[in-house]
Amino acid sequence: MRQELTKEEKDKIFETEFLPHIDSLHNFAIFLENDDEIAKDLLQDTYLRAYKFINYYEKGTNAKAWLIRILKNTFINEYRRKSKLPTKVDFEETYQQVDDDEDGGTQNVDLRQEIFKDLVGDEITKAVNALPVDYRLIILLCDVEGFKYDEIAKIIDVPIGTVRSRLHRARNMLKEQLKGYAEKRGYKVD
Amino acid sequence: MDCNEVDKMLQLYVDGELTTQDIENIRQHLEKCSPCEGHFESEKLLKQIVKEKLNWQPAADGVAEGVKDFVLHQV
Repeated sequence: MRQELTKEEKDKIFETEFLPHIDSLHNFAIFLENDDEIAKDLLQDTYLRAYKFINYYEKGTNAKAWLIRILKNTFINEYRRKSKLPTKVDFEETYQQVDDDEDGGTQNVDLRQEIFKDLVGDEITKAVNALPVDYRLIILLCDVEGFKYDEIAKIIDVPIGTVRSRLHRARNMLKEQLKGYAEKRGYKVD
Repeated sequence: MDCNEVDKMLQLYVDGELTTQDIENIRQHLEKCSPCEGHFESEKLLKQIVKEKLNWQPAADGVAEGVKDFVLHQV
C-alpha cells in the first residue's frame, strides 16, 4: 500500500532501516555478479530504487527481504537487457524446466568425512559461485541468511514448491562440487 | 514412517519447515535407523559448512557512505 512521506521521513527510513543491511546486500551483489565493480553498481542501483519506491515500503516490516527482492529484480532486469543479444539465453526459462522436474533422490555424499570439515572458505565460496545463479541465490537466502521458505518464495517470486525443489537441486550440485574438491586432494569419496 | 518417507522430508527437517508431529516422527525414525541418521548428519553438515565457511564479509569501510552519497545526490 502506498503512503505519502516527507523528505525527512524518507531519509530517516533510508538511514535507520535500509542502510543497516548493507553488509548482506553487498555480499549478495558480489555473489550474484562475481565482480566487485559491477557488484558496486548493482548495490547502488538497488539502494537508489529502494529510495525511489520507499512510499511502498511498510515501515517496521522485513526491510532486508524487501531490499534483497529489489536487488534480485535489478540484477535480473539488467541480465535480461544484456541477454537480448541473440547468443544469450534467458536463465529463468532455462532453469524453470529443471525446477519443474521431479526432485529425484538426494545426492548421497557422506559429508561426515574429515575432508569436508577441512574445506576452507575459498573452496566453499568457489563451489557456491559455480552454481547457476538461481541456485546460488537460494542457497544464500536459506543457508546463509536463514530465511524461511515462505519468505524466500516472496523474495524471488516463485511458489514454495519451487523453493523446495530448487534448494534440493542446489544442494545436490553443491555436494558434487565439494566431492570434486575432496577427490582432487586425493580422497576417495563414496 | 519408513526410510523413503524420511528421505523425502529430510530437507524440510534440516531447514526447520516441518510440523511438530512430523519432527517427532522423523526424530523417532532417526534414533533407530543408522543409514537415515547418517544421511541427516550429512545434510545438516552441508548447511552448517556453507553458513560458517562461506566468505561472507562485512562491506569495506566507506561502502555505506558511498551508497548513501550516491543515492541522496540522485533523489
